[in-house]
Amino acid sequence: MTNESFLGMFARSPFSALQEHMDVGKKATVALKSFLFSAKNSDWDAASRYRQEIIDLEHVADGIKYKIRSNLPKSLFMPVAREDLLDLVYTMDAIPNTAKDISGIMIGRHMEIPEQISEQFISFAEAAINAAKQASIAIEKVDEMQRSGFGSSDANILRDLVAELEQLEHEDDELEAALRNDFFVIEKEFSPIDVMFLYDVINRIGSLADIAQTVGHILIRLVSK
Amino acid sequence: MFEVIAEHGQVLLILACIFGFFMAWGIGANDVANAMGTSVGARALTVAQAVLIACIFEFAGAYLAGGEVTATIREGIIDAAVISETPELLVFGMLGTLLAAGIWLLIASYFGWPVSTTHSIVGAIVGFAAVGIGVDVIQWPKVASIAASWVISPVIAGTISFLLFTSVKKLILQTENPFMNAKRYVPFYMFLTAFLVSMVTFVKGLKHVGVSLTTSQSIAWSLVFALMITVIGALLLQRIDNTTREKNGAMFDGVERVFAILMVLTACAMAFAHGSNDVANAIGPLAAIVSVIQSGGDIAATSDVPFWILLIGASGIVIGLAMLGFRVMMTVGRAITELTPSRGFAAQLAAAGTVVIASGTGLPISTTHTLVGAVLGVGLARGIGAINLSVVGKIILSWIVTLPVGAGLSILFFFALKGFFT
Repeated sequence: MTNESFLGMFARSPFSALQEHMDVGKKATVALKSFLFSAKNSDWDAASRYRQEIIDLEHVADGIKYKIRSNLPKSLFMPVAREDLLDLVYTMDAIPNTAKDISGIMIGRHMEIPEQISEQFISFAEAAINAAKQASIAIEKVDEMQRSGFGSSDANILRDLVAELEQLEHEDDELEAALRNDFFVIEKEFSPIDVMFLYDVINRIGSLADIAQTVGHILIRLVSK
Repeated sequence: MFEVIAEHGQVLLILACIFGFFMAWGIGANDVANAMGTSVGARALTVAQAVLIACIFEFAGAYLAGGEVTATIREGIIDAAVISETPELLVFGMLGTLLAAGIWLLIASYFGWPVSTTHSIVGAIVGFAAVGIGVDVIQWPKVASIAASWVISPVIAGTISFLLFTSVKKLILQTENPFMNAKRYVPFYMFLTAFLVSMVTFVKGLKHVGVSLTTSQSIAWSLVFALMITVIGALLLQRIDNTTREKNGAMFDGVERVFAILMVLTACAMAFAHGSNDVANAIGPLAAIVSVIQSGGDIAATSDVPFWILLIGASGIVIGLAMLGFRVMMTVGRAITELTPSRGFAAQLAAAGTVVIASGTGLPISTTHTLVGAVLGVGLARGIGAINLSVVGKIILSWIVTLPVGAGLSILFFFALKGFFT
């Protein structure tokens, strides 16, 4: 006897897997932070350990992403729009991917961060990672909202969280601009190829904060009906 | 033609009891698991507790509030006056109906199709009567009202559950202190549940046990009874603290544990409602056969349903539940991870309320379909993480398929029985 009774209509909800995915993304950014510290100190042994950790986490995140997507048939009726949910997963998945890319470029070239801007570089990266952390806090809230049935007070709490996230992204943007300016002044001292790649890494770190902000915006869209 | 009944009465009676038991067994194996599985899935009850509640309240529902539906099945669909000269046709037809519905339930259970007992029975009765006896023997207005109730009941249950869950969101879940508000407002839901069930019992049920009450007396007694239940429930709520704890294999916070107590009550109401409608449904054909045979062929004789018929129905259900339904509930209950007591109670109360009122008015409706409507209502109130609409589609499809299949099978058995005994 099979069990395709009416109780089969309760499908597996995607919300806990969403949080699981974001948690892995957050861990990848934490590992990225340690990686950047080691790279700054040119400790490439430690850096490659963190690099491996990031690769593993990215792999785990991919698995969760695949699981969420394959459990979202069109026939699913959810308290949120399916398109928004898929968008969210797609965007969130860019966080561990970006961490992997950054660490990949830096480790492959044993990229030296110029002494003059290294402190600035680290605080800029930390700001971006903080934005990602804030996005994961917002995702955690969504799980709570699901439990209380997505009410209007939930939407307000989420709006506040995302406003903070926007603030973090904005600060990170300013740090990025300052970093670029200061590096521009001294860039002639270094090999043009190295300079090119350093700008590329700065770009990617900055995009981490952008992604976090986009996650926040999709969340608001998800919750409001 | 009365000699058929005089000659084979005993055999027909025994057959009717066997088929009726078989039908009830099928309901226990399949249908009860649906009604009670919601509580098990929401971890408000263990499987053993669900079975115990089902045993008691299915029987109570069938006995105290099942009379009207039994009467509809027995004499509401077929115009007794038209066939008073050929009572044996009614006997063959009702036997065929029980057999057809029972076999169809068994096949459906085997393949895992979510079919409805009610639809099989009504389809089977209309089938044998229209083809075997004549189209004008059927009381079409009654059949039309039954068919309409099949569409309306899930919609009503869905609307009620939507409103119930929205009220839970506004009064409890979305407030500053959900736990405190849960303790404050849950007794009201308890009162509502208890009042609804006792009202139907007092208005419709006590006639059978020989107690006759006026409407205002019924209301008064229902109020007293519901208040008693509410006080007991409120006392039980006092023992719950606001910590997250494990219950029947899932972690629940204080709010959900408060709702879990409420859900024990709505589970009782659900079993009662199911007993009053679906069980009465299976007993109806049996009651019709018994009354024709015992009165020696007098179709118009309307005696009360004898107690032993209810006993056959009740024991069939319990045995079916113990043999197969038990296992269905265990597997299904484990599989549901998304249903919490705060949602489950809303769906159950809405469905139980709709079914119990339908029972009071004698409309045979499908408990499962009503429950599906109620769950969708909670979903529309953004209460459930994910609902698989393809399963809902299958349920609707099986509803449509069940009618002609039930009819076809009963026509087959009707002519087979008729050929065999005459």
